Amino acid sequence: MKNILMAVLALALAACASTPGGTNQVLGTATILMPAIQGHGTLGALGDPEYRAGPHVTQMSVLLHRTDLALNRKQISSAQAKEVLAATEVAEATVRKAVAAEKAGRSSEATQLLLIASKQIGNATQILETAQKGGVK
Amino acid sequence: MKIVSIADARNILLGLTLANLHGILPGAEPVIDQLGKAIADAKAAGKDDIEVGVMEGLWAIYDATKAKLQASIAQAEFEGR
Repeated sequence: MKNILMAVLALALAACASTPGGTNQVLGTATILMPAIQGHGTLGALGDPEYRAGPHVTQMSVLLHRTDLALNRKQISSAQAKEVLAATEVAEATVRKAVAAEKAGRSSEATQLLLIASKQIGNATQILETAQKGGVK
Repeated sequence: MKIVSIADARNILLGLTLANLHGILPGAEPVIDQLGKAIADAKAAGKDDIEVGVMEGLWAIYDATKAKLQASIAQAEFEGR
Protein backbone atom coordinates (compact mmCIF):
# COMPACT_ATOMS: atom_id res chain seq x y z
CA MET A 1 0.00 0.00 0.00
CA LYS A 2 1.72 3.15 -1.18
CA ASN A 3 1.44 6.86 -0.62
CA ILE A 4 -0.62 6.50 2.49
CA LEU A 5 -0.49 9.42 4.82
CA MET A 6 -0.72 9.20 8.53
CA ALA A 7 0.55 10.72 11.72
CA VAL A 8 1.18 9.61 15.26
CA LEU A 9 -0.87 10.75 18.20
CA ALA A 10 2.11 10.41 20.47
CA LEU A 11 3.79 13.16 18.51
CA ALA A 12 0.73 15.33 18.88
CA LEU A 13 0.51 14.69 22.58
CA ALA A 14 4.21 15.36 23.04
CA ALA A 15 3.84 18.59 21.13
CA CYS A 16 0.77 19.64 23.08
CA ALA A 17 2.34 18.84 26.40
CA SER A 18 5.49 20.77 25.56
CA THR A 19 3.74 23.82 24.19
CA PRO A 20 4.80 26.64 26.54
CA GLY A 21 1.71 28.03 28.19
CA GLY A 22 -0.53 25.95 25.98
CA THR A 23 -4.22 26.37 26.47
CA ASN A 24 -5.93 24.41 29.18
CA GLN A 25 -8.11 22.90 26.53
CA VAL A 26 -5.20 21.43 24.63
CA LEU A 27 -3.32 20.23 27.68
CA GLY A 28 -6.50 18.94 29.29
CA THR A 29 -7.43 17.04 26.18
CA ALA A 30 -3.95 15.58 25.93
CA THR A 31 -4.22 14.40 29.51
CA ILE A 32 -7.62 12.86 28.91
CA LEU A 33 -6.49 11.07 25.79
CA MET A 34 -3.17 9.85 27.15
CA PRO A 35 -4.35 6.77 29.02
CA ALA A 36 -6.73 5.81 26.23
CA ILE A 37 -4.20 5.56 23.47
CA GLN A 38 -1.20 3.36 22.94
CA GLY A 39 0.40 6.14 21.00
CA HIS A 40 3.72 6.06 22.72
CA GLY A 41 4.14 2.37 22.09
CA THR A 42 3.20 2.89 18.48
CA LEU A 43 5.73 5.66 18.07
CA GLY A 44 8.39 3.48 19.61
CA ALA A 45 7.58 0.71 17.18
CA LEU A 46 7.98 3.14 14.30
CA GLY A 47 11.22 4.58 15.66
CA ASP A 48 13.32 6.05 12.89
CA PRO A 49 15.75 9.00 12.81
CA GLU A 50 13.72 10.79 10.16
CA TYR A 51 10.82 11.03 12.62
CA ARG A 52 12.82 13.25 14.95
CA ALA A 53 11.25 16.30 13.34
CA GLY A 54 7.75 14.93 13.93
CA PRO A 55 7.15 16.70 17.24
CA HIS A 56 8.35 20.00 15.76
CA VAL A 57 5.96 19.72 12.83
CA THR A 58 3.10 18.86 15.17
CA GLN A 59 3.99 21.69 17.53
CA MET A 60 3.80 24.10 14.62
CA SER A 61 0.42 22.66 13.61
CA VAL A 62 -0.92 23.13 17.13
CA LEU A 63 0.48 26.66 17.31
CA LEU A 64 -1.13 27.69 14.03
CA HIS A 65 -4.41 26.15 15.16
CA ARG A 66 -4.26 28.11 18.43
CA THR A 67 -3.58 31.26 16.42
CA ASP A 68 -6.55 30.51 14.19
CA LEU A 69 -8.79 30.07 17.23
CA ALA A 70 -7.53 33.29 18.81
CA LEU A 71 -8.12 35.20 15.59
CA ASN A 72 -11.62 33.83 15.12
CA ARG A 73 -12.45 34.58 18.75
CA LYS A 74 -11.25 38.15 18.12
CA GLN A 75 -8.60 37.84 20.81
CA ILE A 76 -5.94 38.95 18.33
CA SER A 77 -5.91 40.97 15.12
CA SER A 78 -5.10 39.76 11.63
CA ALA A 79 -1.80 41.66 11.86
CA GLN A 80 -0.89 39.83 15.04
CA ALA A 81 -1.88 36.51 13.49
CA LYS A 82 0.36 37.32 10.55
CA GLU A 83 3.25 37.92 12.93
CA VAL A 84 2.76 34.48 14.48
CA LEU A 85 2.46 32.90 11.05
CA ALA A 86 5.65 34.59 9.84
CA ALA A 87 7.56 33.47 12.93
CA THR A 88 6.25 29.93 12.48
CA GLU A 89 7.34 29.93 8.86
CA VAL A 90 10.86 30.75 9.98
CA ALA A 91 10.76 27.64 12.17
CA GLU A 92 9.20 25.66 9.32
CA ALA A 93 12.12 26.51 7.05
CA THR A 94 14.56 25.36 9.71
CA VAL A 95 12.70 22.10 10.28
CA ARG A 96 12.63 21.40 6.54
CA LYS A 97 16.39 21.96 6.44
CA ALA A 98 16.80 19.56 9.35
CA VAL A 99 14.74 16.89 7.60
CA ALA A 100 16.85 17.32 4.47
CA ALA A 101 20.06 17.08 6.49
CA GLU A 102 18.81 13.92 8.19
CA LYS A 103 17.97 12.35 4.85
CA ALA A 104 21.42 13.28 3.55
CA GLY A 105 23.00 11.51 6.49
CA ARG A 106 24.12 14.71 8.25
CA SER A 107 22.62 13.74 11.56
CA SER A 108 24.56 16.15 13.78
CA GLU A 109 23.62 19.07 11.56
CA ALA A 110 20.00 17.95 11.75
CA THR A 111 20.23 17.90 15.53
CA GLN A 112 21.55 21.45 15.63
CA LEU A 113 18.87 22.65 13.25
CA LEU A 114 16.13 21.02 15.32
CA LEU A 115 17.44 22.75 18.42
CA ILE A 116 17.27 26.06 16.59
CA ALA A 117 13.78 25.21 15.35
CA SER A 118 12.63 24.51 18.91
CA LYS A 119 13.72 28.01 19.93
CA GLN A 120 12.03 29.52 16.90
CA ILE A 121 8.79 27.70 17.70
CA GLY A 122 9.12 29.03 21.24
CA ASN A 123 9.51 32.55 19.88
CA ALA A 124 6.43 32.16 17.70
CA THR A 125 4.47 30.83 20.67
CA GLN A 126 5.61 33.80 22.73
CA ILE A 127 4.38 36.20 20.06
CA LEU A 128 0.93 34.59 20.18
CA GLU A 129 0.73 34.59 23.95
CA THR A 130 1.94 38.17 24.23
CA ALA A 131 -0.66 39.22 21.66
CA GLN A 132 -3.40 37.42 23.55
CA LYS A 133 -2.40 39.07 26.81
CA GLY A 134 -2.14 42.49 25.24
CA GLY A 135 -5.42 42.27 23.37
CA VAL A 136 -6.24 43.23 19.80
CA LYS A 137 -4.00 45.95 18.32
CA MET B 1 7.63 5.18 4.02
CA LYS B 2 7.54 2.48 6.61
CA ILE B 3 5.72 -0.81 7.00
CA VAL B 4 3.70 -1.13 10.20
CA SER B 5 1.15 -3.66 11.38
CA ILE B 6 -2.56 -3.10 10.90
CA ALA B 7 -2.87 -2.99 14.70
CA ASP B 8 -0.36 -0.12 14.92
CA ALA B 9 -2.09 1.67 12.09
CA ARG B 10 -5.42 1.29 13.89
CA ASN B 11 -3.96 2.79 17.08
CA ILE B 12 -2.67 5.72 15.11
CA LEU B 13 -6.00 6.16 13.36
CA LEU B 14 -7.82 6.08 16.69
CA GLY B 15 -5.44 8.59 18.21
CA LEU B 16 -5.66 10.94 15.27
CA THR B 17 -9.43 10.70 15.19
CA LEU B 18 -9.82 11.46 18.88
CA ALA B 19 -7.33 14.32 18.69
CA ASN B 20 -9.23 15.70 15.73
CA LEU B 21 -12.59 15.36 17.45
CA HIS B 22 -11.20 17.21 20.46
CA GLY B 23 -10.07 20.04 18.23
CA ILE B 24 -6.34 19.54 18.63
CA LEU B 25 -5.55 18.74 15.01
CA PRO B 26 -8.29 20.19 12.82
CA GLY B 27 -6.14 19.72 9.70
CA ALA B 28 -6.03 15.97 10.12
CA GLU B 29 -9.28 15.05 8.37
CA PRO B 30 -7.75 14.19 4.96
CA VAL B 31 -5.05 12.12 6.62
CA ILE B 32 -7.62 10.29 8.74
CA ASP B 33 -9.71 9.56 5.66
CA GLN B 34 -6.74 8.22 3.73
CA LEU B 35 -5.43 6.11 6.57
CA GLY B 36 -8.87 4.68 7.29
CA LYS B 37 -9.34 3.74 3.66
CA ALA B 38 -5.85 2.24 3.49
CA ILE B 39 -6.53 0.07 6.54
CA ALA B 40 -9.85 -1.09 5.10
CA ASP B 41 -8.22 -1.90 1.75
CA ALA B 42 -5.37 -3.78 3.42
CA LYS B 43 -7.81 -5.82 5.48
CA ALA B 44 -9.93 -6.59 2.43
CA ALA B 45 -6.80 -7.76 0.63
CA GLY B 46 -5.91 -10.02 3.55
CA LYS B 47 -2.73 -8.12 4.40
CA ASP B 48 -1.23 -7.98 7.88
CA ASP B 49 0.66 -4.74 7.45
CA ILE B 50 0.52 -1.43 5.68
CA GLU B 51 3.03 0.99 4.20
CA VAL B 52 2.75 4.49 5.56
CA GLY B 53 4.53 7.84 5.53
CA VAL B 54 4.65 9.34 8.99
CA MET B 55 6.40 12.59 8.13
CA GLU B 56 4.31 13.05 4.99
CA GLY B 57 1.21 12.81 7.15
CA LEU B 58 2.50 15.29 9.69
CA TRP B 59 3.45 17.79 7.00
CA ALA B 60 0.03 17.33 5.37
CA ILE B 61 -1.63 18.21 8.67
CA TYR B 62 0.66 21.21 9.08
CA ASP B 63 -0.03 22.45 5.55
CA ALA B 64 -3.79 22.11 6.03
CA THR B 65 -3.68 23.94 9.36
CA LYS B 66 -1.57 26.71 7.84
CA ALA B 67 -3.95 27.07 4.90
CA LYS B 68 -6.88 27.38 7.31
CA LEU B 69 -5.12 30.13 9.27
CA GLN B 70 -4.26 31.98 6.06
CA ALA B 71 -7.92 31.85 5.05
CA SER B 72 -8.95 33.16 8.47
CA ILE B 73 -6.44 36.00 8.19
CA ALA B 74 -7.80 36.93 4.77
CA GLN B 75 -11.35 36.89 6.15
CA ALA B 76 -10.36 39.00 9.17
CA GLU B 77 -8.65 41.52 6.92
CA PHE B 78 -11.76 41.66 4.76
CA GLU B 79 -13.77 42.42 7.90
CA GLY B 80 -11.28 45.10 8.88
CA ARG B 81 -10.06 43.50 12.08
